[in-house]
Amino acid sequence: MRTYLKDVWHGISSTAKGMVLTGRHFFTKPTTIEYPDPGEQTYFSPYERGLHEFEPEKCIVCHLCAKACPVDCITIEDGGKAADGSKILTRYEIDYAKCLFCSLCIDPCPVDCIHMGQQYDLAAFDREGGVRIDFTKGEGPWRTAKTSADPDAGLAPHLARIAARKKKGGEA
Amino acid sequence: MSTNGRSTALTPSEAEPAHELHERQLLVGRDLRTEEMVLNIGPQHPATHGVLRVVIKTDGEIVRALQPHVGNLHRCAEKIGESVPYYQWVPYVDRMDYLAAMCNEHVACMAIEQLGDIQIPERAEYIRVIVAEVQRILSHLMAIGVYGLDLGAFTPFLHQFRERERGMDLLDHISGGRLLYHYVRIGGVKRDLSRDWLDELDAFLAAVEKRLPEYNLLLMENRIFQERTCGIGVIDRDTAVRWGVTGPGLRAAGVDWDLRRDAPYSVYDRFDFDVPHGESGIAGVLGDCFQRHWIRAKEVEQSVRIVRQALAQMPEGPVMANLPKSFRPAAGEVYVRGENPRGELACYFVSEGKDTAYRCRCRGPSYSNIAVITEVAEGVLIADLVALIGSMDIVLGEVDR
Amino acid sequence: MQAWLDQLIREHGWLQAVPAGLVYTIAIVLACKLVLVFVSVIAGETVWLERRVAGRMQARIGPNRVGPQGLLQFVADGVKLLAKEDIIPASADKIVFLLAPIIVFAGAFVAFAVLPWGFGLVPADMNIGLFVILSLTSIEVVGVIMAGWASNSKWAVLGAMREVAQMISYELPLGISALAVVILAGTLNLTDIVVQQEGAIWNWYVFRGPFAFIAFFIFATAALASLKRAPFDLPEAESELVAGFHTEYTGFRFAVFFLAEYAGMILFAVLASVLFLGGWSPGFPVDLTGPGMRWVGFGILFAKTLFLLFVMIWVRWSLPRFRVDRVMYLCYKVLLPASVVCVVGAALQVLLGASMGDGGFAAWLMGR
Repeated sequence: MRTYLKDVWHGISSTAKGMVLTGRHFFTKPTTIEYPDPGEQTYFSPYERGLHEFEPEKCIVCHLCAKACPVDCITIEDGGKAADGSKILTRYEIDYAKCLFCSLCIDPCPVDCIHMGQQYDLAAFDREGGVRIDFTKGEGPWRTAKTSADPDAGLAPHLARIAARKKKGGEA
Repeated sequence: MSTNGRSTALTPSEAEPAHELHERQLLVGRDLRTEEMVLNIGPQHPATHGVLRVVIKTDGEIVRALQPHVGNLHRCAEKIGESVPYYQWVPYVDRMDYLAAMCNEHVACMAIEQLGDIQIPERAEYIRVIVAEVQRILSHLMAIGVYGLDLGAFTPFLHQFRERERGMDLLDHISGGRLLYHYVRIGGVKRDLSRDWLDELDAFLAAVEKRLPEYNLLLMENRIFQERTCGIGVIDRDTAVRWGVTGPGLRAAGVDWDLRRDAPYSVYDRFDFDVPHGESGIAGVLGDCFQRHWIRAKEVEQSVRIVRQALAQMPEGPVMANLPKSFRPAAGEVYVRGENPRGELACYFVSEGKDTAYRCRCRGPSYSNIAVITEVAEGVLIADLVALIGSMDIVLGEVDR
Repeated sequence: MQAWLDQLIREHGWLQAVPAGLVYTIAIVLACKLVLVFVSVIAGETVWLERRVAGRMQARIGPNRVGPQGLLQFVADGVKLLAKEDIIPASADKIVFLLAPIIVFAGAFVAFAVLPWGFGLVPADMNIGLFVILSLTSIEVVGVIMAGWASNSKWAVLGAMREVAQMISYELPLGISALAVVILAGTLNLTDIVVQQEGAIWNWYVFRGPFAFIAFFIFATAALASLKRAPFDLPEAESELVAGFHTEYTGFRFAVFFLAEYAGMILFAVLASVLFLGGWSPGFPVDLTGPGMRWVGFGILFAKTLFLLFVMIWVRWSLPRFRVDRVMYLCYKVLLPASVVCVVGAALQVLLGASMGDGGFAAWLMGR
């Protein structure tokens, strides 16, 4: 009989204590924030491995990034040589269905023309436009002046937005 | 055990389970014919932690036989390990146990470094331990929360996301990814930790310590949770050892075994930490679901302790060894194992002197942890089955690789 | 209600040409329709309340985009569910499959005809009101069995079996703990029960002695179990049986089950307020029987209902789920004996003359 009453009491008291905790949470400010509107861009980290940012003017078509890729998702085509002997880049396409976002293509580049950016959203209205991105045709995410030496270049407005959101509240 | 020319002694999945009952049980009344019901749980199911398919034969509410069907998430990670150079294979290791990616990378890189006889800088060793233990905290928090979700307590699941978010932001800041990091590389780690990051790490550890009693209040101290987990799914010492269960499952059975202390790798022998294992003093029976859960909660505290010691002891220096341009380890083989949050992850490599491995094999702890339920699940209720599978804390990426 | 209708007929002469029975019938049908619409809207808003409260308890915000503060969320959910494909499993028993949600819905909503929302604000003031409510809510059980069986799916059958066991078992402590109040009140008429609680806050049955106090908590727990709400929600245990007996229902049929559950929540919240928490009386003496004041009483009752709904939601998001044998243990070995003790105690209380209001119990305690 005593264990029976003890069990009942334990049930009631543990329930009550749990409810006090959730009740306390009810009156605390939530830790989540509103989903950012489409225009706003979230900033994660200086080394964030999002969608690539590629500068075709700098590329010397050495194919080191394509060789480093574990899944062979980078397709590079060159169209002969220019007057000063450098190769002309005609196609630089990344197949995002295969890309691991591992950033192994970033390290070997000798001219610092490929980086990984903050964007992650590849939503598109048709399959072709959303998966294989050809950077030479102007497709792809926004380009910045980001280099390995200055990873935060061009990100000042985003950092300001993040700081403003932190100040507004929430355990960002 | 004879293997009939196969690589393992496990029977193929179409074969009938060896312990299938051949008699009609439960003739309650003379003319009452009861049948056993064959139920299929998954592969799409909210409670199986991934694409796990379990076929059970039930007699009303009681499970009579059970067979898990795995392989739905097989992505040929080992075959790829034999097809690409070592440094290109490291990103794939993240994806095996995706909730403990840093620990996976740690073990794989250790194996490759041992194969190629590479010494990594000491600071890199400490950083690896720090991120591995942070990852252990995150993985155990997830296990604790998801276990509550399996049992119907929705709230701790969302609370643990709050702490996990801070930890993931930390790991995101240094590696660039929230879940799959590719941070621990062959020869060390990718980049050094900044002062800001270390301050944020201190804040994260303090937050985890503060919130852990809350999870315990909502789960372990709750009567309903105790009724659902105490005495359920008991895996005793012999069963655990026989099936190769490792990690919290093994420790809950009373075996005081942790690779970080008993077969130390990296710099774990320099830290002082406890290894929680099942005891009869706490609630529940030795080796039951409650004790596995309790051990995970305790291991979070110990991981915090290890990180703090590592932060205090960490020397300055480089974080990446100088590697040859083309990494071709000498011919030989190596078997390296580490203590993942889910158990013992091991990598076995055979090298022929080329830049790609000849044989790459990973031993995932969740594979053995889920195999043991074939024996343990007989006689449990279906509701307990969910509690049992949840307490083993499997990740299907690791079961199937 | 009948007195009010008679007064209406007297005031408007043209109504006297119509047979009185027809007027009564049409009036009652209209009143029931009004209650139905009102309860449906409130059930929809209870969904909103649940999701916002659950969100805040889980350190997040909850839906706040559709309409002001997300109040129109249930409209969006309803439209979404209406637009979904209506799938009936090929091997399902079609007629039973289609009838089941209707029966569950009816069982949940019909009982509202007898609930007093204020003095005289009740479509059908029956002398056996409480009894009618408890029996009408039992109709839901039949609907649940039909849903599980007709779906012709093992998961649905398992869920229906568990659900039937649970609902039928918990009707016992539910009824017996309500009986404690009936013994103290001496009537099954809900309006009279509330009238007896008017005056000071000590008149509320929950404060009239320890037996009614405990009976309140037994009633609340048994109501939660009867509603299949967590921690007793094994029939719809999402992580175990996908969705239990309504796994195979899609679109609007699922919405009907959903609505019936929330309507049941409101029903038991109002019933608990009426039986134990003083109904529409605010806790101090004020006359709420007048034609205008009774709407103030309605507001007070509504506030109490909201509070009890909040507690129900609070309990759901704090506790894990019971296992089926523990549910049965709790019913038969904890709640049932306790409720029987409450009834016997209440009867003793009446016998010893200590059930009178106006602080009568306190007076009896002090030996006067």
